[in-house]
Amino acid sequence: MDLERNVEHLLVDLWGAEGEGRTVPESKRTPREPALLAEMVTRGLLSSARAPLQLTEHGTLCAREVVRRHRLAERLLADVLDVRGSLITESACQFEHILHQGLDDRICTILGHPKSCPHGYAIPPGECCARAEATGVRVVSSLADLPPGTPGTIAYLHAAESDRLKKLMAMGCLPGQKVRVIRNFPSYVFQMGFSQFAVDRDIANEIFVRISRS
Amino acid sequence: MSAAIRDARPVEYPAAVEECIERLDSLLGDSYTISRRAVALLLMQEDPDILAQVREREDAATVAAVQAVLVDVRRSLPRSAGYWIAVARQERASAVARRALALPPEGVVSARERLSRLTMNPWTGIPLLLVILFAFYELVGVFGAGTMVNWLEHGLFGDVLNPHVTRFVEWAIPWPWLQDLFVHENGIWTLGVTYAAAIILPVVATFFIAFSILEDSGYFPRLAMLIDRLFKTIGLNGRAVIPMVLGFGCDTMATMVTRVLETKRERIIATFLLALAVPCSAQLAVTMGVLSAYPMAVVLWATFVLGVFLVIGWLAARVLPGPAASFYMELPPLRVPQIGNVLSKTFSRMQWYFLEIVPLFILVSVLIWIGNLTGVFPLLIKAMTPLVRFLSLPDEMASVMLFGFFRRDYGAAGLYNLSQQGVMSGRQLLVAAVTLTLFIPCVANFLIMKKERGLKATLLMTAVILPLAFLTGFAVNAILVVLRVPL
Repeated sequence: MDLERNVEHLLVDLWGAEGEGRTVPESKRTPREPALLAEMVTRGLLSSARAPLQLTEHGTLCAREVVRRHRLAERLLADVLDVRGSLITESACQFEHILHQGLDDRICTILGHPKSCPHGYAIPPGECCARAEATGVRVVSSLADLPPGTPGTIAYLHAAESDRLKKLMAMGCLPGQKVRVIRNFPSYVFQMGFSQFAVDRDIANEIFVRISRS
Repeated sequence: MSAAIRDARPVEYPAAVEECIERLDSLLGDSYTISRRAVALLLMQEDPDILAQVREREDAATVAAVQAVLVDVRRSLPRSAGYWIAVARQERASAVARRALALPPEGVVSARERLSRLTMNPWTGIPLLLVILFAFYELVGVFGAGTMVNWLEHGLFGDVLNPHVTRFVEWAIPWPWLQDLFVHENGIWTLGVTYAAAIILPVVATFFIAFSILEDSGYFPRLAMLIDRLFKTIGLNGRAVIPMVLGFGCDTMATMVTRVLETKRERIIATFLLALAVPCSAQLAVTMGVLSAYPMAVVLWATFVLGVFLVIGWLAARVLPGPAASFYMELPPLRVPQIGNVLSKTFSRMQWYFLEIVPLFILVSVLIWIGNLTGVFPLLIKAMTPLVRFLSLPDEMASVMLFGFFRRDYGAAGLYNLSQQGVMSGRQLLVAAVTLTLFIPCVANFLIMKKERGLKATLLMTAVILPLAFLTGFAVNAILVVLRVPL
């Protein structure tokens, strides 16, 4: 079991360095356990056990899946179960293991196909995202897909450009704020606190709302 | 605040931010007026003033170290530290607010809110917009440009002031060619000052009053929301309604107001469309006056000009590089405008406007004086005659177009005389009206374009607008002839 967790951790770190160009400390990318490296080479995840470690094609795919499950689990914990702080990461490590065999796509759909984890890292999209599946049960939805009148709380923002994020911040449009869509045509109008805002579809798509059940 | 609500603990930020605060705290000296923690937080939010202060107070090595820490935090977090700081503060503020505020029950929609929603629903919002435009036209077009201009231009200036000034100048200056600089047809007094005070003043004053009333009522953001999608197709966003609406008063002023647009691309497109296809109040007045006998022609004129606005705007949005503008706006509650506010706004706008515009009219008088004195104008008119014939218009239109560019009412009066003499058919009047509308409204507009967008961009826009105006006039004429539209 421990071995399994270590395999996944190394996959995530290598993915971070290769797939996302993130700065991951050298020590994390070259662990000193030969048994772990040997196991991963046997499984065809690593091309060799020597530094610099390189993921194989199969390894990259596996790493992407692990990252996706882990970050979806974090989203689920944060948005649905209201878990906060460092507990998110810890619980997600346990949680991700049950999200196999298509369960990840179902969670992803209920969460409104989130694009980033609570820490802001991108969630690799699954097949369900490409098909933009919708179900009757939705817990989180982008503001653009929210029917008028539905009350909710901003869960997180996914702004593609930092410029746009700054605009949202200037509007006070931040996680935790209560919102309610008033109109969705010809543009989006929503109530937030005591103010109303009008935004276009691009911006409405970047505000994710946790739907409140009244 | 009661003790139960007060929360004096410092806001807790995510671990990476707190770590960065500690690292900055150990680097910074003691000479700041605010705490080092506050300085660190401002640095992470990329505040330019605090960065300047640090540069001033710390040695080069410390500044470099501080910047290294900031680069580090930028790399280790997927979003800017400013975002996480804002999120943490928002959470704390909401927590305090939850304890301190008793919220009114949800789901109650006030009458004000109901009206606000009507303005934003296209089914009710568009008819409401038409009503507002009609009231606007009654105040500015009929009362301002009609009644008041008549009284000031013909009554006060034409019959009372100008004869005295003319007699005085003719007495003081013995040479007629120099007298022309000040009085007679195109003098500084008779053209520049009279034009500014008797024609521009009432139109601009009534326009600004109407504009300030709409502005204070909170209507514009709602109109922006209604029109954003349409404006996106021409490379602008809802925010551009304000300069566009202003353009119907004066394109020159509207061009200055394009400063409110965020990107350079939007400012160029807006300036271009204002000069091309947004008729100013003077252009509107001429068109309505000349075409009033042909209601069908007014409809066709509006259709052609709107068509050019949308098609050329669509093309401009495709040709000009740059990202599409995003639209976001706060919708303030609808309010009844206060007279005091409306008047003081109108006054300060007019003051600003006259300081910027009147010198231009005086310059125009001087230009016309030089043009006539040196014989340049007669030559230009001769050069324009073939263009006018190309549109199947009478030769006299050449001088109407040239002078119209320098002095709008002059062109208007010329066109009006031609229509009164009956030398032009309804079709010719429509072609002339469309061509004149698409022209750059006046030389003041041209000069402001140069000031706001630079000489190169302005010449480029002019090089597009002039042929486009003539070609559209030609096309309109051809369409009317081929389809045998009875006018």
